Amino acid sequence: MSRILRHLKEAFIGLVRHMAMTLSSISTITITLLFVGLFLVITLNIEQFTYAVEGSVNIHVKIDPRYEDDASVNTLGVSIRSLVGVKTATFSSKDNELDEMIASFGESGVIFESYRGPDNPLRMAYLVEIKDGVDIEVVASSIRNLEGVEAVAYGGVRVIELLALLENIRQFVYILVAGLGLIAIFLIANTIKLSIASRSLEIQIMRTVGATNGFIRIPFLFEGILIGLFGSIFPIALIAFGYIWLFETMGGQFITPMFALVQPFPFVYYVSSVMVLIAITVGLFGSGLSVGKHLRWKR
Amino acid sequence: MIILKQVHKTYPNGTHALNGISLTIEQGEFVYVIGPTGSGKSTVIRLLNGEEIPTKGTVEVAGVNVGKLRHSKVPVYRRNLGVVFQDFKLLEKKTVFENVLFALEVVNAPIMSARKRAREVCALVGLSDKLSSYPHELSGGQQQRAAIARAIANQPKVLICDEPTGNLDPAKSKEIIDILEKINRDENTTILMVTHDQTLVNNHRRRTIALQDGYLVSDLVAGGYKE
Repeated sequence: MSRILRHLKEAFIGLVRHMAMTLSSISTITITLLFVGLFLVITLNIEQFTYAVEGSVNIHVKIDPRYEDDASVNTLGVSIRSLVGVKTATFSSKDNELDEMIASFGESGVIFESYRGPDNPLRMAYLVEIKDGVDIEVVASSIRNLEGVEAVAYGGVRVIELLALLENIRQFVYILVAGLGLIAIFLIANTIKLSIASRSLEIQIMRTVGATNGFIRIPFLFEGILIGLFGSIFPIALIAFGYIWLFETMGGQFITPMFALVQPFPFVYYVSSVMVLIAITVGLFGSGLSVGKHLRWKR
Repeated sequence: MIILKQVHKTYPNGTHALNGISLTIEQGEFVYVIGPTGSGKSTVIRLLNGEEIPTKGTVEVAGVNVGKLRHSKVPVYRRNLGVVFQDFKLLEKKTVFENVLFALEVVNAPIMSARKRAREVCALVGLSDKLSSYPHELSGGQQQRAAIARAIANQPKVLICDEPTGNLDPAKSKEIIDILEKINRDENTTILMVTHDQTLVNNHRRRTIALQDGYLVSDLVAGGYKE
């Protein structure tokens, strides 16, 4: 225990000795982690959106009330299934449509319960799923021309475009994080290099009296880890509290209820621990680079 | 304690630093190693502390074949040796006591016994009243005494002194040699002292090994410096 405290003390002394370098390393880590945090928050939310949207890229075909007899409904189903680009077509009864409607309104949906029964004003419908890579508009207009179709609706396209845009943003952030991470590693390596240089006499004495190589290296590795940890405080606080605030301000959704934001707990813990891990890794990697180069194992 | 058998050392740049040196130093001996610059004295020290590996021959210290030692075993082996340098190499920001304690701390000595031992060796070199002085507050002789205290803190079997009096005037040099003789006597530490100082070698006669151009040119048990 006292050994670890000793190493930590040495690490702190090193940090204070090169305040300017330490601060620049810490601020690079801070900026890097801010982007890492944003990246994580965006990515994980997009994943959730994508999952929600996946089920909604299909065509909703309302059946004309004059064609509600079984024979007509079946004929229409066969016609739809025979169209090019249609994967499946599932029949949905009036009761089923009402269930969907009630569900889509959430808690207040129960008021529509009074529609249930023979007077249900909703239409029977077909839910048409299309094959990948097929133009949804072409299929929709073909269906619209079939006999017994009252209306055709589809909504997933804009959503997919939006997701593609978010995906691009994500990739940009990804490159930015990689670049900043490299700069952070480089700066930490330089900070540690200065520490090693200013302690060269101590290192020489330690070698002479028989301190093990690990013992000599540990304070410098600690120094790197500390830089990482100090650099992670601000971004973690900002991302965690920022996300909680955002979630509450936006009512847990992004523009529409379809885009439900990820619940802040335990999400922020998860994001924070990933950020801490990255900070430690970058710090350790940067200092390890310098230690490996300037404290190379010589006899 | 120290056995060199037909030791050759050639550096990568082609310098033949040592050419077939053989010698045996017994436990508790006090030996001078003399010779002009470039005679191979520093190489002998580097071979003894495991920094360099002999090109041919064997170097054995306290029963350890130093040249065959795995890299990871060198630090622990080195605890058998104490080294005193010409330029003292004290840490300026630490007091005498802390400098001595440092050598014990970095080899993970238990803290209470380390403090006790640090006070003990400071007393041995006559620095009991300077424990909390910083190196810059001490004279050259006192600084070298602090460095000696640090070197013997770990109770090494061999104390290697690399020109310990090189930076000191004759009076202070005598002071240092007296302390080394005392350590040799009281702690039964084998002492190997590399020096240029003719007066010293002649006044404190001990076994004297002379090197020149990497050859052992004389090994006089009677001691003394002959031209």
